[in-house]
Amino acid sequence: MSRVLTTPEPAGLRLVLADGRASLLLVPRLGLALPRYHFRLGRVVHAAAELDLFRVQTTLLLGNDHTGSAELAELRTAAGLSEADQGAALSLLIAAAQARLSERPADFGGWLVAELPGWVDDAQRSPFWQALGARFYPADPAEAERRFGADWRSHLAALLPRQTLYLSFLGEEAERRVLDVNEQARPALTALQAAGFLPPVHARIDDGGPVLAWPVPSAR
Amino acid sequence: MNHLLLRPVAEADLPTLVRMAAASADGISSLPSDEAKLATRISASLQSFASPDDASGEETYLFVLEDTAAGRAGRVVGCSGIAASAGFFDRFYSYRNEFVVHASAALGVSRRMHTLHLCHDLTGATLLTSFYLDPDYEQGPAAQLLSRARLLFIRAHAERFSERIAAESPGITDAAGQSPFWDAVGRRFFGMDYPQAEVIVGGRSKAFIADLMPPSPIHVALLPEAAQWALGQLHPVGELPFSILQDEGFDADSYVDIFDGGPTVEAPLASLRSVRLAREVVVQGDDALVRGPSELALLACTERARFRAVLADVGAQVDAATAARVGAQPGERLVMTPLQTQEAA
Repeated sequence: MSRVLTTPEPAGLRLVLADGRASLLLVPRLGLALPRYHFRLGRVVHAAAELDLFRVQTTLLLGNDHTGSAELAELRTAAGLSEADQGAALSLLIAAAQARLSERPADFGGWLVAELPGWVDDAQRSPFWQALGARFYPADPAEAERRFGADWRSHLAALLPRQTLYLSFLGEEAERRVLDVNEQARPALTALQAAGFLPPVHARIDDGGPVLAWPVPSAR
Repeated sequence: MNHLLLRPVAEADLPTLVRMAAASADGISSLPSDEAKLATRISASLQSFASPDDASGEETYLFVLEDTAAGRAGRVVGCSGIAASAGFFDRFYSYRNEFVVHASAALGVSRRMHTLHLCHDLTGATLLTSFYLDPDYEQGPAAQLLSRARLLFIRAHAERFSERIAAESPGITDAAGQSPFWDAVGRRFFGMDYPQAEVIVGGRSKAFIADLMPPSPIHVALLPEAAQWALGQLHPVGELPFSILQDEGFDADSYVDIFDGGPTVEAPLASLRSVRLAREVVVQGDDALVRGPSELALLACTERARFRAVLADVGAQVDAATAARVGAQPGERLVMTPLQTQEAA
């Protein structure tokens, strides 16, 4: 088993497998300088017994729920690894990060979260973006992400609706794909789920990718 | 033109109203297409006109337009109504158009976004309702008399009405009766077609229905293009009454119907043209004394129980023959407002 090397960086701790197969950045508390936004998925029932109507709607609410949580960011694996090897390599780093949080809970937020990129089709189009973000930001999101990095989503939030949105307004494809991951992130998703991360209730605001969260045991 | 008479509805008008309700397109008219319901509307109107009590707000008034020309035997060719207080038994729902600027300095984007807010703003406003005119009479001033005489009635009995007047107009639908706005909004919450919803909703209050609609604002940018386009668009049958209200000075940009997206106009009573330009005229017994310039006008005897309105040439005074058309005697005061829709420069 490969050793985990830990290097402090301004933004957090860089965890790298000594054999170079994977790395990630463990951020102690996210969103304290530039606010971070996610959509929280909720459920609303509109019922009218007299009309024999009972409709369940999924809602999206823009918020900063994970402010102060610890984060696993910049999950990366070496090129050429099989999905199983990517998952195994990331699992080692995730376990190391979880151990660190359990040992020194005071240094981190009470939850450990990880954002994963959302589903795109073969042409790299995100149906969630097409149905929502594109209606509010009339330029290329990839270009903006190259320019601002992950911070781009904090800027995007300023353009998005603040009030509860009904997912059904976004159309069937976006509805089906919200919380679904990009194929390339599937090993990471599997590794996070295996490490005890809970089923996502938050989505990334640009592509609808899932935000997984793990409650730090000692913090509960 | 001198053969048209607007008067309160009478019990004998029921068969005519049944015919008019059937002739107006499904789900478009605010006339119920059900004989028993129409009979109820008539008796409610009779009661409202007859009642000397202070208004409670639940009153509805129905007027009919009669063609008194020889050979037509008092044929009723149109109707129009007033509901004293919108949503009297409950809340009255509308979508209010609001514009919010979404801006990000970092991204260099600033956009004016259109949102629809579910609101009760027009609850309690007086509603102009039930406009229907036989197609044969659409060319000419009949529609003006039918629509605007209501404003003279409201002006004369202001204590019975709100200072704010509103009117709903049918939104656009396709040939199959489907509403693009409904398909994008209401359907998601009702899971049914617009015509079907109209049937189920029937005479129920919209407040009841609105419990099924989302309480948060709707971002127009998220709606399909057809629905965005349909927003605020009129059904063709609504064009004539809508144009009259526009000429009156109603604001058509603030509210839309929560179901079909049709425009709901509103304005303070005092700002409306017919009301601003209305003046009292005295019936002169001696025709020789009726002189001076005259103009084409709506002329009304505004007394509650014997309200009548006609189109006539009116000057500073009214001759006895003209007054007789609205059932008035020499010495009485009538109210006129110019027919002309353009204001003199």
